[in-house]
Amino acid sequence: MEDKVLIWRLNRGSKEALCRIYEKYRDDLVRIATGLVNDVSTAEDIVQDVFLTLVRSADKHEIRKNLRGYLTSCVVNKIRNSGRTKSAQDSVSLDNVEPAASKGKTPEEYIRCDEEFQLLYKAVARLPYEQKEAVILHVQGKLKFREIARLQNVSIKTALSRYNYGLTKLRSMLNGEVEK
Amino acid sequence: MRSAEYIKRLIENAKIRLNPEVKKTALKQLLNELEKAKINSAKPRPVTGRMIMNSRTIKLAVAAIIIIAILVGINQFGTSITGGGVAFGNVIGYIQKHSYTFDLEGLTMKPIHAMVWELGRIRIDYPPAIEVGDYSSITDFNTGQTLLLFHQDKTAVMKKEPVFKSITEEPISLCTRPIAELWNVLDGAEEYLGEKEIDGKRVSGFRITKEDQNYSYEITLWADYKKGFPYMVETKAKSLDSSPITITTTMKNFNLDAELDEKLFSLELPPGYMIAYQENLEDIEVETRLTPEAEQIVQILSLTSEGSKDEAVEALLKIDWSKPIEFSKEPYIFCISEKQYKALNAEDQKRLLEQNLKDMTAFRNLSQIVLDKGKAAVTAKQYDDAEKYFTAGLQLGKLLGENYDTMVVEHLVGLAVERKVLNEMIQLYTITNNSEKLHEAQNQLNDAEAEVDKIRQESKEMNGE
Repeated sequence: MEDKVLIWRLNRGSKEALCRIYEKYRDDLVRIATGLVNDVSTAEDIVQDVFLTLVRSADKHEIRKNLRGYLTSCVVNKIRNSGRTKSAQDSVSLDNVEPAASKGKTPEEYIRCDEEFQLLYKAVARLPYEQKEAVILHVQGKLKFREIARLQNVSIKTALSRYNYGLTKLRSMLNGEVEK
Repeated sequence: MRSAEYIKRLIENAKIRLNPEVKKTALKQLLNELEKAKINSAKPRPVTGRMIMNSRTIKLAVAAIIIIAILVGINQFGTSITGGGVAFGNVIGYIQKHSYTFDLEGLTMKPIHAMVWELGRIRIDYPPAIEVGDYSSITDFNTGQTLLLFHQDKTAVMKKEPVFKSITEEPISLCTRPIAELWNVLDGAEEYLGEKEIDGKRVSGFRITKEDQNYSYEITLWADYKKGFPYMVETKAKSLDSSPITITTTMKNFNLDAELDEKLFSLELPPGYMIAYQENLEDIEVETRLTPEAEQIVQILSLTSEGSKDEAVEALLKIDWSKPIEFSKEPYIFCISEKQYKALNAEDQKRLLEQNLKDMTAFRNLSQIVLDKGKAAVTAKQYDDAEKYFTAGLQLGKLLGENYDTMVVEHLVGLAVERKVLNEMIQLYTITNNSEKLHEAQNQLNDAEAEVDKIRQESKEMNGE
């Protein structure tokens, strides 16, 4: 309901509403986009384009589904349309990857986490795009498989399979790395 | 070996370090675009400035106000046809178009503090109730949706339909209904009561009566006779059942200058809270699918339940533990988390617990049988056989002991099995003088014990010890 209020206000030119929407969703969207295009700057540009479109056409259409899902779909479509799905697998800008703050971690555990996240992003970059999309959108984007299926224009079963295969591949890549 | 769940958590927790300056510049660009968009398309403002104009209720209310105003010649911002004193339209304008706070008396020993947000929501923070602790309700007047927050255990209930049951079951509706009625009332629906003095203050009175399938309401609104600020609202709610009871509440101390944080009225779950007591077991989604080895384990547990112990153990020894072992939704012991359990309605919670009890009994029995066979093999100096039994028992324990998706009690049982088996393995490797495996078993035992201590500590902290 809060999102509906914000959109209503944005439609009527409220700067506060825009700031609130931006604050609420921008960072998460950049995180999702980074997972898909493997580069933070590109991800930021894509998310900025999405917000610009939102601002420019806010009064022209009504957002019927939830705002988070809508913005995430816009990001995904923009990435697909820009042909960035086949970016180099090793061009992951990992300097910006940092672990979430965690209570009670020892310094050794914190360092181990950092390396783990680096490995994770490298592994994600190596996934086939559709599987990567399914994994990122479900885990980070919190999209249901029904929504992912609609975005990818496949059945729910296919979306779920892509997700499972993606996760299995990530697991075997990461476990293989750890055993080295 | 990292599980799928571990990988998921890793992905969830990965954050990106973002440049705040880039973010600031980007936001500035958006605000400039918004300014341009406003200049390019000046949009006529809606008559009432009310949100969610696609709400049918609001559209009807607006249409009705316009029609009534035309028919009876009442100026919405002018004086009433009764002549003299403040118009009901002015009074109801304060109720419907402003944010304010007030105190509610008559339901509890101390007054309850309530807040109304101009866009049509009310938040009430109730004093602590026995076994429940303190709780709050946020109701949306447009949709009737109510979010109940129980702060003690950070759970929430979302009521999507406005349901008004008997007074003893729904005290919340008694608190919210009078303001909800006033918030939706149309000018012209009132009875004018004239003017009087209350505590030295000159006020004008208006009465609205309403009835639904459960109650009849008589709402008397007293407002400043000149300006129309609400001063006091008295409500008499009478139940319409065979033994009617009447409850009177009074709203006082209206404060129209209160600065209220919109976030207090959000119908979204606050961070750290979870929806409880409402989900169905059928609706729970599990992302993993049953693998062949896991299917074997399900059958082994069934064999154990049926009493076919030897067959069960024989099958357990044949499991290839290096292959993926992932379960679908059943058996619940492997896949349903504490959070998912708490979110279930009471009936499904009971159903799940009953099934879990059966599966856990089979799990414990199987672990014990395997452990006993291993110990017997050690006694008989058949050390290779003993190791096979203990390895199978350990892997069985890990299915729950290393499974963070399951409920705490099952997780602890898994850890207990691991510890028992590891202790036996330590003895075995001491006898066989295998220092490498002995060291490994000791490390695993330390990890299992550390995990148990951690869970105990977390439990103590949750209980405030």
